[in-house]
Amino acid sequence: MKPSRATWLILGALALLVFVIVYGPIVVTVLGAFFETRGSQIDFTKPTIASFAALGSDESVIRAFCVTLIVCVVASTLAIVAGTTAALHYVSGHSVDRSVLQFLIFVPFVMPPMITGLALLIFFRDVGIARSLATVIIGHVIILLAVAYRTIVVRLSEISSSLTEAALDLGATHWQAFWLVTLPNLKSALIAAFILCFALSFDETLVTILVTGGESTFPVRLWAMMRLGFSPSVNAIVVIVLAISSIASFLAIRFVLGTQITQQPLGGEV
Amino acid sequence: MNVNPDKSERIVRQFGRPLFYCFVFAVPLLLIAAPFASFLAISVGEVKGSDIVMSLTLKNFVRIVEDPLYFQVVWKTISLCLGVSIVTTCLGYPIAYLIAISTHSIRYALICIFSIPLLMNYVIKIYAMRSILGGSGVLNKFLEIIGISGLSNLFVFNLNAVFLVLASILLPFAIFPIFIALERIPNSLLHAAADLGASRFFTFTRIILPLSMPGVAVAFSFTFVLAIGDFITPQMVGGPTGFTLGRVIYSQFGLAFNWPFGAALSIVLMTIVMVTIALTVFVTPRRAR
Amino acid sequence: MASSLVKLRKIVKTYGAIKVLDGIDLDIGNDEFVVVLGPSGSGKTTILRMIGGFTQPSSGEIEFDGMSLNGVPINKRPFNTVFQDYALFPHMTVADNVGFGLRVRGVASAQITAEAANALSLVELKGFADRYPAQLSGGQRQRVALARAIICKPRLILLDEPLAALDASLRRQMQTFLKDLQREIKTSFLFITHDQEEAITMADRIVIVDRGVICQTATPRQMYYQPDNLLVATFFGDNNLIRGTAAEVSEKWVVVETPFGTCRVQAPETLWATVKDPLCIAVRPENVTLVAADAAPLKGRVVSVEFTGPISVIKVESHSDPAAVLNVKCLSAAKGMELAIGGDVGISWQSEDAWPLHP
Repeated sequence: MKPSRATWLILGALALLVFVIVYGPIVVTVLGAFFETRGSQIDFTKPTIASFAALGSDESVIRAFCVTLIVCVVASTLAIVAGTTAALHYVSGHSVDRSVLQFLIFVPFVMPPMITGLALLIFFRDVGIARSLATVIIGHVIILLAVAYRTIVVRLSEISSSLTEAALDLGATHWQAFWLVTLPNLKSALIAAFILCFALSFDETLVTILVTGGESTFPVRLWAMMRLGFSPSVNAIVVIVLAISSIASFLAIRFVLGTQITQQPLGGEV
Repeated sequence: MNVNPDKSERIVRQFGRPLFYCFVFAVPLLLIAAPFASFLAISVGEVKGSDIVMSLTLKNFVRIVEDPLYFQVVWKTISLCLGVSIVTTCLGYPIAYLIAISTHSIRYALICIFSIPLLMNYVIKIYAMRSILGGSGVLNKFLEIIGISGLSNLFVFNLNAVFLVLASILLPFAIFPIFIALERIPNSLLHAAADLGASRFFTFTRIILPLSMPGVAVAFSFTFVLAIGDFITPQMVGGPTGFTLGRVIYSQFGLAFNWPFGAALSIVLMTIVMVTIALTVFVTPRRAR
Repeated sequence: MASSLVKLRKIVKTYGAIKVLDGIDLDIGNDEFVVVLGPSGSGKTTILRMIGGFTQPSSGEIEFDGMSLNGVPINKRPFNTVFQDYALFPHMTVADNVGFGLRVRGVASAQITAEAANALSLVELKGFADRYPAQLSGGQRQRVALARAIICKPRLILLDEPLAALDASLRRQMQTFLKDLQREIKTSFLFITHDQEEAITMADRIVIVDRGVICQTATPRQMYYQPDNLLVATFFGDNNLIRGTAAEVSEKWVVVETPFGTCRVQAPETLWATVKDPLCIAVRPENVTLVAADAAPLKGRVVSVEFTGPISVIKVESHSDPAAVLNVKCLSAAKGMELAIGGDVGISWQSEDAWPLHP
């Protein structure tokens, strides 16, 4: 049954409201980057890109950005490797420890990130590891692990086990079977996992704040800057980050959701 | 249980068992189980001077219950987050429904529009809200313009601000679980209802709404857990009065340097989260899990 | 008998409390087409998977060329398998799929291309080298799986119900094709199926498995006309099982009293019977001839005559025991006499067409 005109209107109005609520603040901030500001007032008569220029010379921000990129790439890669081994284990047997493994993997993801961060903080102190970039990477890996694992295990379960059996039957070693048969079929899942992990890692703030040593990542640097108040360079950073996020979102939606979107609408014609 | 023996042992074990096993479990055990264990351990310790002593005491937990300050914080936090969840879920449902009844390109566009915020930097979103909420910020200006200037400081740096910020940030998170649940409802059910003479409203209230409840439950608990674990928002927009459980815990690990107490508070937080998740699973009918 | 290629001795396989295989003894010879036939759940697939190395026996020995295979991993066994779902690697071309076995052995790629082309022309898929499995029909995928199994020149090829997913006419084509292929490459085939027609058509030797035990191993003809037990007797097509009692037992003959009369049947060496033992005589309906009532020692009464096209089915019941009914099949065109319902007839058959067994 087609929805009535009234339904469309009401829903449309609500969607607009939500849109304003969600995007409003962001639009305001973006505007603040392109116009001169006094305090938190935007002066629409004076467009400028001075804030972007200032950014180029702000070393700490650029440094934080590079650090973040390194952390994202390393953490995502480690998470995917660990997630793949866990997924392989899950798919290859009926043992009880499968459930234990899955539970362990999902805990840091389900718990508020702050808890995970604190747990790590205490742990590092107990074990005597100083907080540093390495601890940040570890924190990221733990949270990303669940996402990587889930993405990969779903795809891995779809790959028929007879493919692995066939490879072995034809004389391949376990490693050859994995490398030549399983891995190529996992490609799409690995890419999707990487994109998701990267995006999550880039944005990760709560855990990072708690376990960071001297070097800060981009979100942490932002947070530090924001505690001091408003500044034009912050607005400029916001614009850049938003641009990157939007591109990343498009990529993620294309890759991860892909064909699932174009399906029958609810109650639509068959 | 009927086991077809011909098919039972289809799955081939990969790789040399013992080595692989170590590899598989190394990360989860070392980096997940161990930290959480030490976390639990420290909550039964206490601070003596500038050292943390493991004295196996329940002092910390007792303090949480007895000290009205902390007890209040816990309750205020729970009610705040419940409020956030209710608002986001209620607003999120119509949006999810809109996406569900849209076709192809509109659907794609809507999904893009409402999921981009999901991947945006968290801190930036708070910052953006803060610029609106300030004493001379846009929201205040707006309230003045429409003449409710008496409320002008309602949202400036207090728990209400925290509420507003959390709600606006978590809205997109509520939309998608509901959308997924709506997607799962087979169209044939709705056609059958129409065929039997049900009005659109009836179909919605008696079929769509109940069947989408699992998704609503997920949205609710998801936003609740996200809200309750946040300490940055209260810190940035809460001002001197906006203290949530998260912020209190954070300060225990910062200036207050009472790690055992902080750990105990965290365990309270964890318990709330686990109870929420358990309730959600419990309320979801078996067939929809 | 020529020395066996693969020997299974006393194979037992249990999953927890369930015994899937209970004492299997099987021989597969060189250049032989062996079909393992049985209903689903009988354990036939387990036998195949054990030879291939995908499962290990709980007890028992598997030997190849005299050497024990126990504990030898899948990839070191000189057998290749054609899986029920073909298991073609979707991300590789047909040529890469076929050449996989050589590739993992480190054979030079020029040689792989040549041998793959060879194998593909053997299965009549010349020119398909650059296609992907997704672009092929079911029958074509089947043949790619075959080519992939052949290329490494294994001593034995294991086929796990490979024709199950094909439609009827394609199945028949493939049956002939497989049989010809086996003769051409002179490799032993171990073929699993639940379809008795398939088994009879293709096998050099049939092994019937039911509930984890081998019921009989024989050539198709032997199995059809000389079943060892009731299960095998009723497995293929229609069979008459006339119940009677042994009246006289000698080395080569048994005289059996049946509801239709007394008849003398040749006794196989494996039949142990004494007087008064209950026996069943198996006679195929197409081997029974009806004659005039007084022209044969066995008599009955016609109950019905059913015209089913080229064949007519006549039911004859015994005078003494109306529950004992014989099915007779004959060409509709060849009825030599008028058969009236209720009329008396004589029943006759060639002595070698009747086969006694224990009920």
